[in-house]
Amino acid sequence: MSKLKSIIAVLPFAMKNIGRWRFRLLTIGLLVIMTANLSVLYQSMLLSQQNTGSLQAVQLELPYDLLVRLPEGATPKPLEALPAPLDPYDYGKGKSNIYTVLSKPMPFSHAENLLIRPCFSPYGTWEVWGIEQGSMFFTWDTLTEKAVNQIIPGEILLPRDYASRFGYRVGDTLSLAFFLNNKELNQADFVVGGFLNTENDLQKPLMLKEDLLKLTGNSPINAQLLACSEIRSHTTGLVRNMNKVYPGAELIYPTMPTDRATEAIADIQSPAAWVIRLIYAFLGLGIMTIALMTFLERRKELAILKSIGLKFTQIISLYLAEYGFVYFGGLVIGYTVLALLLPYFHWSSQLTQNQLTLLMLNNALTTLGIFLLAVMYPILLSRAASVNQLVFARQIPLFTAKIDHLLRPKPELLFREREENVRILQADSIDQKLSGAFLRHPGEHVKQGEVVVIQESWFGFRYREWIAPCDGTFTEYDIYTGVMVFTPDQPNAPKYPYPADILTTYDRRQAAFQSGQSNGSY
Amino acid sequence: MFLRLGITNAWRNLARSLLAILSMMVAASFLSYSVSLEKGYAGGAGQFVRRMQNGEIIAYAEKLSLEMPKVGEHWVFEDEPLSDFTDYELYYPEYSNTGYLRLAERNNYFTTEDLAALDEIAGIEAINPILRFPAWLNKQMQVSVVGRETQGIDTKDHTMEEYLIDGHWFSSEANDLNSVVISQYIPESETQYKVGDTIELTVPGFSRIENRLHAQWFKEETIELKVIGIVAIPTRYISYINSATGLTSAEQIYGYSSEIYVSKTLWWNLWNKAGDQTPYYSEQLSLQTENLTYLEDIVYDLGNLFPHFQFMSAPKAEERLLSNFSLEPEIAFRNLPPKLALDLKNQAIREQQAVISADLRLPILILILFNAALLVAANILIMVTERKREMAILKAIGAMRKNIIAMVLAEAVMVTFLGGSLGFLLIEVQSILNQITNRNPFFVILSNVMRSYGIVVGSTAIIAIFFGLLPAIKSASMSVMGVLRDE
Repeated sequence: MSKLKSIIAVLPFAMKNIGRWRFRLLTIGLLVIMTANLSVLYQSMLLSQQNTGSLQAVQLELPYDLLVRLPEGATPKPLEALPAPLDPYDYGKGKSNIYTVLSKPMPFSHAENLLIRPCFSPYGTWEVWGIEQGSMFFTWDTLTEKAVNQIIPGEILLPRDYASRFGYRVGDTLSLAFFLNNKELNQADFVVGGFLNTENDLQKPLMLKEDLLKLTGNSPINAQLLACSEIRSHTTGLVRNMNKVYPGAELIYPTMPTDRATEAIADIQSPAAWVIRLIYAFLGLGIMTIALMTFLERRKELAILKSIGLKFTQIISLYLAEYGFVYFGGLVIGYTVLALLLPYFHWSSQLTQNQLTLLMLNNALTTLGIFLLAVMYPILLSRAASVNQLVFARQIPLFTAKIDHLLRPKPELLFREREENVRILQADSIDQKLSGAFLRHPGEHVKQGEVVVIQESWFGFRYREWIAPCDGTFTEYDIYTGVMVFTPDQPNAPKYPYPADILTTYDRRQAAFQSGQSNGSY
Repeated sequence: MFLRLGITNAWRNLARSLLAILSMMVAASFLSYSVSLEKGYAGGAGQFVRRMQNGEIIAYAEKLSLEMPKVGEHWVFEDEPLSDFTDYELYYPEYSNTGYLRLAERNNYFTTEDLAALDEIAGIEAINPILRFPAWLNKQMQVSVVGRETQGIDTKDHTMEEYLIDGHWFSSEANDLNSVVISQYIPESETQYKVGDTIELTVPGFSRIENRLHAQWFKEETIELKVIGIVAIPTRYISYINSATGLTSAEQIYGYSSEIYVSKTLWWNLWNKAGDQTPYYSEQLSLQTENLTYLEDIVYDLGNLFPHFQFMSAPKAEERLLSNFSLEPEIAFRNLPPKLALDLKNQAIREQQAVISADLRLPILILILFNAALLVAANILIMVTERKREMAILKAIGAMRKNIIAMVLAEAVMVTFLGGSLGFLLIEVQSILNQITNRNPFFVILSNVMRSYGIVVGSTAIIAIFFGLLPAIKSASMSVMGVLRDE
């Protein structure tokens, strides 16, 4: 409770700060407003392009509901083994894994196996379909008195436009050819038995499956035609579920061009993700810069607050109250402006309310994340800074450390510590340069905990102090390795507990080395 | 003096300006990329495709890559086999299985007007209509009969003569002879042809119906042709550790091509005989460029100028072939360890539908430049805030407003110059190497580099000055007394 009170206590101060820093906070607010508008408008344009682009794909008129083109080696499955499209409600509820449920009670009502093969024809390469004799999917005009829908052996049914394009008539004979597996060209003649009805797309020459099998040398069945009234109303989960049963199969259904167009448009628009990322990067850098500047200018204020006992949670509350106010204010104004602007953009009418709400929510959350990340740096600085650093505008390292032992203990150094009863530190030395400063020099007496060397690195983000590990004399500094040696005043001065196995291994190897030398085998 | 002071300050605070320098570097890299020189290739890129196609750019009359549909345009689904009069099947083999979306309106061939218009484009040196028709080889498989120039006509970069491993290319005297050059390996064929063999070529009849060419397979005529040369198309070179010996082994992989090369004279003779006066309009062209320095720029320009045709650079086409393994059936890797061959084949990429990504370089460039400029401005602003006292002292000893502005701007320009130069170098190195491998003269390379450098550094400097002006003015207009009292 007292913690909550201490947090609430800084709020009036935060309000005063908002008034004091109003212009720069207004700049952040403007950035939020601009980002909200730019990002949502741009993404809504992309979405509307997807919507309209998908609509520009012409849906297929098919006599069947689903054609499954099987991959090489796959065989058609019985009707009962096929999954149904899922109920959109269930799919939305995350029950998309119930594909294992048999198609009942939303079954594929009918299935026919099919053979599809490209054959050489009198006019180029045709894809010919071998269908079952009593196929329920196709109707055609025979212009003869023969029974309708009873294709007979030796007969071929052609799409209607073949009559006008190639001049075929019922009763004409045409040849088809196919290269068999043994590289022999198999050729057969067929009689045009009729013309398929015109209203359907993707029409192909049809013949009896047995005829095509004969022509193509008993090549395996490679497609399946399915009837399912559900597909006409929705195809939720269809592709995914059918891929579980027929991995790698191609599915042709009436709305398939729309689905493919949506995928293609997403690919076309893929570079747009960079534009969105840049807009947010723009926001993040803007907020961070302003927050950092504000921090630099309020160093004295923070110094006073810290010296009278301000806790870190209160510092966080102070920042969050100030910037949170701007975030929410900017977002509310941003979305109000957006609501006013949106009707002037022609694509807005093509968006659904759900799409727009999702976009706005997405933007609000992303902006919040960026906000938190951007103010993190000044918050961490405020935490890391001492009152002195704040008052005298000194550099504030984010990472500080006091080191009284070897960071990377090497066996040689530990060996020396043990044999000579000294304490050793090792500062970072590159090319004989320390990149720091000695506060105590070799030959001087030092007290335990006294700072001997200071070093800054990572562009000032890291500050390290090497402190004397014991009361004693700073006896030696090696410019090549950065090793500092201290001889303790008291021989029994405590030692840093390095892992014992380092020295044990070293001793064992030394012993082996010595014995090898004495045996003359080394 | 103040300019020097600004530059000294910038140099002194280099580490602190790192973020601004880095962001300007990214901006300059992107700008360098966008000013176009950097979209070329090294001299040997896409070599085997350049020789197979006789050019650096392949152009198809029918466009199969999708772009965002314009108002009134429609996409329709197509599952008809791809035309036998192009080699589309080689580059887009997945379309035969999956079908594809295409614009409802489509082009079937290049007219003479199209060829004339393409000839006008800067950077295009020559246009070669591809002469290609389908035929049956020994009544065992379908092949493509391609008409090529005789010996010595095509340049070294474009001729298949370079890949001859046996026999010779068509000499002008041999034009009237019935001779062919054939690939060392033909898909699905177990016969290894050799020079002197005779092949049977069954040429179908040809007709043009509704503006599309059709092969009339049962109006065929069979002719006998003599093999005078064998070509081997090197596709990729694979190094691997031989598990048996533990040593590094290497294997050159050769392509399986179903193209039968005949001289142009013979090709036209065959066409005229089989086509029964059917005019041949190419459905595919190859375009030659001087070198590969500007190749993707030219392809990009062509795509914009002729949006209804499809263009593909040879290196990109090679990339497709190597990723979809169209030229390399399983047997092409027979000399490799089976596991390695299997791993390679598993890498095959079958794309669903090729698209042309939206070109958003300009908005991205603008945003990146703005971002970088903002960082430079912020960097300067922070430095100015930190050095108020120094500036106040400078003003107190007589520095004028314009001197302070010049000093701050010099700092901004220094940061920009460093970032811009680093970013430029980062991208330009590849460009310079590309130009060297394309055998461009030294002074041409130098002038290209200097021109690009001028554009990149000039534009980034202008932005830096523009965005550095606000902190500069702010620092110049502060009150000396106020600052010295507060600090």
